[in-house]
Amino acid sequence: MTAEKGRTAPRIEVPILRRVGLDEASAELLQKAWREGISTEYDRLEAQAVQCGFGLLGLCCRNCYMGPCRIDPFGEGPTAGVCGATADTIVARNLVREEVGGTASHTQHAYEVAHVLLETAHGRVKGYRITDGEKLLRIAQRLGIETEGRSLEEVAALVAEKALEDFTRTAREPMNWLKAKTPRSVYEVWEKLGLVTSNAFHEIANAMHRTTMGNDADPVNLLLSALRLGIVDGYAGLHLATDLQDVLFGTPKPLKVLTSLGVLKPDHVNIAVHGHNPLLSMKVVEWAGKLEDEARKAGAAGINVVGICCTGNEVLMRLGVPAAAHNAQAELAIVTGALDAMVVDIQCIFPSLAQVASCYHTKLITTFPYAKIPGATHIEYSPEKADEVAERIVREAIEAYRRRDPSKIHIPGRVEEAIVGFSVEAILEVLKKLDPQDPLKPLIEVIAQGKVKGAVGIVGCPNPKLRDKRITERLAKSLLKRDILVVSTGCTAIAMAQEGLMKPEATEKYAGPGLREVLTALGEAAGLGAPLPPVWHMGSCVDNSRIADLIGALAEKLGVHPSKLPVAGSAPEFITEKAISIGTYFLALGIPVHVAPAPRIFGSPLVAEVLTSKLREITGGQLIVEYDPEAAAEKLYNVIMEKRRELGLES
Amino acid sequence: MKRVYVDLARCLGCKTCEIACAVAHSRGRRPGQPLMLDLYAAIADPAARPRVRVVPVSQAYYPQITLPIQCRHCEKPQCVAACVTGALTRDAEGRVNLAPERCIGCRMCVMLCPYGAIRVDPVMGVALKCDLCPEEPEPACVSSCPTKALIYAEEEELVGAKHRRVAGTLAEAIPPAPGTVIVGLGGSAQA
Repeated sequence: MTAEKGRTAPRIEVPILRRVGLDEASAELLQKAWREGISTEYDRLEAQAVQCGFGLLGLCCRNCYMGPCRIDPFGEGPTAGVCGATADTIVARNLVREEVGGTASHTQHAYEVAHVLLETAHGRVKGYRITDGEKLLRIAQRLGIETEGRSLEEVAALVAEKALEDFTRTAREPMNWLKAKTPRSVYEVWEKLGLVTSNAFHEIANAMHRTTMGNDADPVNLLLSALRLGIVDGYAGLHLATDLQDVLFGTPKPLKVLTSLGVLKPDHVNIAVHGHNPLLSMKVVEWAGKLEDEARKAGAAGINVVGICCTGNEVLMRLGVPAAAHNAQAELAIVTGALDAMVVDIQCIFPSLAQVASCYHTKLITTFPYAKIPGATHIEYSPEKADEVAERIVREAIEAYRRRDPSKIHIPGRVEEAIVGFSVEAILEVLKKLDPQDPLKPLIEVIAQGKVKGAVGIVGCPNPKLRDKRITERLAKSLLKRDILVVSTGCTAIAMAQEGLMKPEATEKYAGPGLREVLTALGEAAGLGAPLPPVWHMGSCVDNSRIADLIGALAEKLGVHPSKLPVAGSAPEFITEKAISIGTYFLALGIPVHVAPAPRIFGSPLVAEVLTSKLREITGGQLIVEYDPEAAAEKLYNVIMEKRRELGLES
Repeated sequence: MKRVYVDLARCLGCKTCEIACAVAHSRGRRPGQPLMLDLYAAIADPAARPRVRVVPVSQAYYPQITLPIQCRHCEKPQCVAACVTGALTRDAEGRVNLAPERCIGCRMCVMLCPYGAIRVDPVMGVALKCDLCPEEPEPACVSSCPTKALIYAEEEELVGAKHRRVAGTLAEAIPPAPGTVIVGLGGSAQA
């Protein structure tokens, strides 16, 4: 931590025990926040201690008004709720309801993008266009849509209708996206288990219904519902959103970018886009470009748009917009005093941002009708008004720039470089340089030879509860050392980019010898003149679909179930219900998933046992809970090595 | 005299005792009515404050170790010794009592209590401490604890229970000497 020289900070009671592990920029800005008397998530977390033990164990049921009921995990107090629901029932119901929160978020996000694609195809919405026609045609093909003799707009309309069908279908037929994108071997397992779903919104409504008082009390049946929600999240959420966003905004290609809070510029109008949906953030970037002159008139050198959270990843991956902050640094971005506007769309937006912004000149702008924050300025987005809204937002930021207080500005000095944009298409493009006919072959070969032992997707959100331990970064480094390739998405990816794990030098520094050799060869083939980075940024949280696509392609190519592949997932500091539903999707696919903190399942021995052990025989997936990064790396390594042995690979 | 003891292994840190304590000491409290029925009046009462605090013992969030702290009703209460107005007194049984009408809010007791179990109510301006809920059948923290981590008992009861537990453990751990006759309900057996 660096204190400003020549200044004596006033004595504030600062419980710093939990913060010593923070990255330098965060620590620096936290000091500034304390000096200025601003409360951050870390202070509020401190105030929240002691957190409720029943909640942590999933043992509190609030689903009816005979309760709230709690089960005593020590067995002396109540063993059932008023209705007779046991710990197993309550824990399973609570888990299903968490999945509902996550799945509703991703599916509604995807639904809105599909709607915009349809309106764009019909010319009813003017602000968007079809950017990646090739991807559109590939998707159409997978969906069995005839593309011959049709214009891109006509195909787009048909694809969008197929997408919207997955939310409106009344017949008991599988969802289009599920049918088109699930590996055959997985589909067969799901069909046997009754997990093939036909309507995303119906599944969500059913899950709410089944978990009300006096409905489904069978924990196993409830867990099947949880798996179904995970699958809905995967196809009607993640895949749908990524696919259609690529069509509208382009499929990411490798780009060199800058990350860290230091990307804010003292002489520019700084606008942060924060949230998840690129429908707005892409437009803000566009209008920032158009209004540069206005900014100069206001005395600024230009306009600097930076990204926070997943909407930041969307514009990072496609346009190279610098990623300033992950979710746990959003408040600190305002504390720099250099942020003129923060425009937010949906999800992971702390309401505290309004409070922090009120201490500076920063304009906090909410835009979605169902995500308002008291104290923020609301400029309501709709696809029809996208341009008008984006222009207004940029003008508000320029106005705010005039009110900046230079004495309050402090931008951390360090910025970190990163190579991002690893869509599946981009990865295949690199591999094609090695084998134009069969691009997956070289990848499979290096895995078979043991140069690369396997791969782990480290995803999710840096959690203030665990940030001091920096589980994310330490886990990644420990895996790289063991020749395991790391791919990443979401805010976790931003944290790893800030740590310098996404630049070629990191390969020299952290990768084991086999992995280093492979990444060096790939870097050369790609014409980079340096190794590929050891951690591949694959996008936003919905872009976990890209990871699933890659796993699916490898499984199909080898003719095996994904659970046989030496791959695993990890959400080492997850925060959201969305992480729970994404994790469940990967468990349903048959992938081992490590998480911390502990999901709220340990109040039920049955639910805990099913997810951490029995699931292996059901879908092939397995939940691993581990707070210690070294121990987690060891467990993931062992899982990967076991799978290698089962595949008959020696080392 | 009965006191409040804590079984550390049972405390989940749910803070139910804090809520219950605040309700029991709220102005709208109707003794004899179920405690949580008065919760809604209590949350609107600015003077409703808990006298017990659940304190995290370790800095870690996992495992979470917590301890409810309230007045220990000490044998040699420093707060009583330091109270110049006589608001704090120790009665014959050993309870440390507060007479709020005599309290001037000088905070000598706050300074001297080794546990931080006394503070001054910011609204009423007088000391705030555990009174063992004289109006309730037993202290509200104890009756509300969902895991029975709080025990309201005579010292002898607590010590006796511990002795019995320890004896049980030892009986299993220590093999009886050869020839010892173990007499049980079902008769006797030769070891």
